Amino acid sequence: MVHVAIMPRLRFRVHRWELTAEALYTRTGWLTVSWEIVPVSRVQTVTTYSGPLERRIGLSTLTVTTASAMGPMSIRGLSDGDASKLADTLARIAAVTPGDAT
Amino acid sequence: VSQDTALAAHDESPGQDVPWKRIDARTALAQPLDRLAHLVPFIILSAVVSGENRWILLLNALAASMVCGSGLSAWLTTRYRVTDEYLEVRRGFLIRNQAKVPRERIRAIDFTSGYAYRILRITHVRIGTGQHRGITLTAVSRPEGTRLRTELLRGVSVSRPTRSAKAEPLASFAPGWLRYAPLSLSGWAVVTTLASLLFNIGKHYEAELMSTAAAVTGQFAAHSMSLPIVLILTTVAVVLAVGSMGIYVLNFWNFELKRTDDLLHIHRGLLTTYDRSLAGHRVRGYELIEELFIRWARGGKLTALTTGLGAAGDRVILLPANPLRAVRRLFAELLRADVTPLHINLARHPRAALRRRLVRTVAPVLVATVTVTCIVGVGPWLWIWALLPPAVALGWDRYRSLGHAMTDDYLVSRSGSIYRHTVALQRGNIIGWRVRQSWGQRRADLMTLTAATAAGRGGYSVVDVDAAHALRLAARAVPGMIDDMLGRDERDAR
Repeated sequence: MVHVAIMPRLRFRVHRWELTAEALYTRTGWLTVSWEIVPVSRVQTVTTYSGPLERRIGLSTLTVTTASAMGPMSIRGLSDGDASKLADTLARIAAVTPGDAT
Repeated sequence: VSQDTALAAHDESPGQDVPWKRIDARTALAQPLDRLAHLVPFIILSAVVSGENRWILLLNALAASMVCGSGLSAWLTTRYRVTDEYLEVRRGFLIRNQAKVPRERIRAIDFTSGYAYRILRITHVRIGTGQHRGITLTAVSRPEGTRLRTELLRGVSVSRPTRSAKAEPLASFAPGWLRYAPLSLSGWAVVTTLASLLFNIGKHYEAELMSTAAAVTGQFAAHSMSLPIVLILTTVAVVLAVGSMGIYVLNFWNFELKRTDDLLHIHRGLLTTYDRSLAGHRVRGYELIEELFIRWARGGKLTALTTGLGAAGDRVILLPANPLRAVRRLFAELLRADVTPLHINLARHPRAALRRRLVRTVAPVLVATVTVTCIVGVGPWLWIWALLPPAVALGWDRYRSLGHAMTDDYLVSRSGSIYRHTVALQRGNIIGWRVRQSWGQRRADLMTLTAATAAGRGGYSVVDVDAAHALRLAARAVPGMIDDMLGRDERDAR
């Protein structure tokens, strides 16, 4: 119960993302804060996903893969509009820039 | 790969008429032999355990015959061909399995020959494509393997006409290398595993073994109390040293590193031989690994971080444990430079990092010691206090190992004590960052900076650096990528 009551607010408070001309940034975590930075030029694929529940309330998860062996980066709980806009932008930039460092 | 297959279905590219080739017929014999050899311990074990049980024997026979059949069916059903654009491998009878890879994706080619394959002069080929585990071909004849390698890597190698196409030897096995083998912790680990396996088999003869051992130690015990302990320790040490030497010989016998133009060739192995070729421009960095005892003996091994061989194979040994001088010489020759990024002075990390290292190594030992002392009193557990000094030493050494530096081309980071590794990663191949700050690190104003890359383990960390310095380091290593975040973070801080 406590988890259900507190976690969403906490996550909403600490999770952040931002896209600039060069890179996509995310910040997650409260006790251990973790920032991830993916330069848009190195993006390989962009996927958006929304499960049945997420779809009802209009949220999506955006997953970005690069050549990094550390695994993909994902942003959860984006509004549908933001997610598709972000996916479009990233896909467009990824298509233009050559080289993914494999 | 599936994506490529889907794409490839559309274009009926030229080369559709290239005939399919069969793998070598000797596979039908070599594969069962090789696999049976692996099964032998289990067959013996199950025979010992089951005694005369007919069902288990039948099961063994069934397994053995299935293995024999698999070789035959592999030979009958595997086909491959190299067209102008693709490498295609097709296998399977009931379940069809087809792989089609654009040749431009091929990064490296590996040969492995188990003893059965060696006797029959054929080889297992693994083609690294930078994705998953690559493609394997079991097995083709040696000349065919070499031909395939030349053909497939032709496009990969950026050959410079100024350099001769002659193979240039960089390192080859010398008996002197063996002196580091008994000190290898990884060798000890393998020996311990093997010994425990043998011990399990030996359990059935436990009574006899124990009585023999008791008789031997008893005889010594008659002379002195401490002798049995010394004897046991000596036996363990000798077994570990000899065993890990044996493993070293199995792995690195006839080791040879050669360079032809841009291609590096590595050959090694006593019974099973490994042949690996990788394109020099696929090497994304280097790692110097110094295990504790080898480090004390002033040795280390050099590996290359590459892409294209799948997670397991992405660290290629360029030189097994050798004196640091030799490592340095080889590295300089590889880079064709005088100063190598693994042999420069590294920046120390803040004192707070020392505190964190000490807390991590000493605190668990201290808690255990105090708990034990509180519960059972000092008495027979007094020795546990002797664990404290090594814990402090370990913490101190782990701190001393921490270091980082940046050169024109490389980001260098070192950490670890028992298994100390220094990584030099090409700055141009850093494709992202992860910055982590735990609660403890935040209080100490430290950060762990991890550079993401396509090669090797995928992420290499600079542990516990000053927070502001970490971000500056990242910004300097790859200009442009982190600048915006730097600016915003400073705003956030205010």
